[in-house]
Amino acid sequence: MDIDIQARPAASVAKITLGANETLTCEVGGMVAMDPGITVETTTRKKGGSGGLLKGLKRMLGGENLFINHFTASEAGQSLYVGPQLLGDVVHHTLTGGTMVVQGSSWLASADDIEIDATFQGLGKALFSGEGIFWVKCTGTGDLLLNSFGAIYPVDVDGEYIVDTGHIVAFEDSLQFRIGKASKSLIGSFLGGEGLVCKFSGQGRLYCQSHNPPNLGTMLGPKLKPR
Amino acid sequence: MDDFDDTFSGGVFHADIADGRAGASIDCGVSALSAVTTTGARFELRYDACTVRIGGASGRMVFCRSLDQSLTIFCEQKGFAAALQQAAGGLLDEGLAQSKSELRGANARSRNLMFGLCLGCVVLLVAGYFALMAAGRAALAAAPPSIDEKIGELAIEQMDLKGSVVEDPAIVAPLEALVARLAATDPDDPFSYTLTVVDADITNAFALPGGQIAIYTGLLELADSPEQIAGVLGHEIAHVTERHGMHGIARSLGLVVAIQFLVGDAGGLVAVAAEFGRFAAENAYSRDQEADSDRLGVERLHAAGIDPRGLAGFFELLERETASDVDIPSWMSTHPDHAARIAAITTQAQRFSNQTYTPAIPTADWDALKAALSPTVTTPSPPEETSDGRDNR
Repeated sequence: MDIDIQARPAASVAKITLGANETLTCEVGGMVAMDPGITVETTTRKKGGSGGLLKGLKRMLGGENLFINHFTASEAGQSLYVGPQLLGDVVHHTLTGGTMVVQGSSWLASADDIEIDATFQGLGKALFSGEGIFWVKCTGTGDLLLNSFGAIYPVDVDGEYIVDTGHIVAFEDSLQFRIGKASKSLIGSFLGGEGLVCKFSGQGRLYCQSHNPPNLGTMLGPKLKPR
Repeated sequence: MDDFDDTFSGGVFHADIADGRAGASIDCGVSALSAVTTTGARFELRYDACTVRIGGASGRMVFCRSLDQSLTIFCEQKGFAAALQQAAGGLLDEGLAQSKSELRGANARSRNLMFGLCLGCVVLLVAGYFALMAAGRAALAAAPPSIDEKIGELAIEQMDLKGSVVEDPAIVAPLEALVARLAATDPDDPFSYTLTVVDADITNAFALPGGQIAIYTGLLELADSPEQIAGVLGHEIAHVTERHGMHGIARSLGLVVAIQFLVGDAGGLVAVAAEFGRFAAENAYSRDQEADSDRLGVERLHAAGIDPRGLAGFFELLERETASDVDIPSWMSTHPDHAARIAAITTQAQRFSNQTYTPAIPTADWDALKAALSPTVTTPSPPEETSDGRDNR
């Protein structure tokens, strides 16, 4: 599988060139264009995997779709383009047997060996992290494509790192995060406009996004005409 | 090296690995941990040259790190911590215990913060609700009486009165004269009163904001004396002067705003909730408002030279009628404390020093009114008679 991310970072799309009989699993609606020789199969589980409907429903809680699409090349060199829903970047991460915890809707596509599941990160994080209640958990070995709103930047955390709520794209499961105050005083935290932040600790890769979807909604909402 | 226990699945952080991290199978040896990555690279970490910490996204991942921090072997598989502890022969016990304690402390702090934030949100929402209600009341207090009049006129035009408006001067004229007599007792009253007599066999009367008062022929039919009618009208005038209807509207509007504040712009839910709130708020005045209207009505009747015990007399009449007639639901259903109201009115009336009263309506006019009533009474459409218009007495 050869991955080429183009038009970065504002309107990225990923061109994926598959080997013969190689499969890319992609979120519903993620495919932009493809070679006619590629076949598409829609299921609620990993290709050839187990879990079925329940896993699909869990994934829905994580902000993804009940169904996932599997694109399989009939011969080597066939390619397809996948792109995110919001204007933003796409990043390629290679999983080497670990787990990547991805905020709902940031999972774009992955190799068919990677298991896509949902995980609950606790009520506090659900309420105050600025992300969804459930997160998508990608486990296994292979290529993983994540998308963001705005640009993605990776951070290799070793120790502690702080990200504002709503700016997390994904993090390795070797990292732990807690919700905390941006400054020592809670009132100061809110007056400073930062309020609550996500405090990461441990060692591992973290992907952040430059923009924050809820902020866009807050800004646009009042300007929209009522339906 | 002899393996001490089973092989665990985990990972390794090391600069020699592409991207710095790789999955690995881990063995707890006699003197060191060994890890073989998915690419075949082998790493070893001596127990006496490493620190241990628990963390990760799940809070259960065990990290063993070399003292120079160049190598980390980690695993969250069940049983790994116990196997590691056993294999290290006590070397890592202190580190594991300390890490567990730190983790518990951090979890507790996080829990407390979350609890505090949740509590803060609830307090803010409740305070916001009451602040909006208070703002509604303040806005009402600042509104000029002309607003009441506009609302009252609009409301009575749009209401289904359940009967035609009586024009017969034999009925309307003495009642209008009575209202004028009652109104004249307070020269500072900013409201002017308009009486509408509705031809329907309903024992009801109501007041709308701004001075719109409606009385049903059913009530006039039932009354034994003009003082009873005067009592009802005095009570209704007090609802107007005290702006009870406006309070109800402010409460409903406050409720709509409060619900929007609480649930955000949740269209349908707000509409349903607001409708429910409005229905509940508009269908009855509160007991305090009723008691106030009784008290002020009695004062006004006395000031107009009308025997205020007529109001108590009307309550007694209704009480008697209710016992034999299930079709008089309104006064009783919403005011189960009528006995207390009769007692309060009687006590208040007895306190007045000068109790020289003249008939509320001259006898000849009253007789003519009663005579004119008989042929006009028709049967109303019964099903919704108390659930729609303002059933307030």
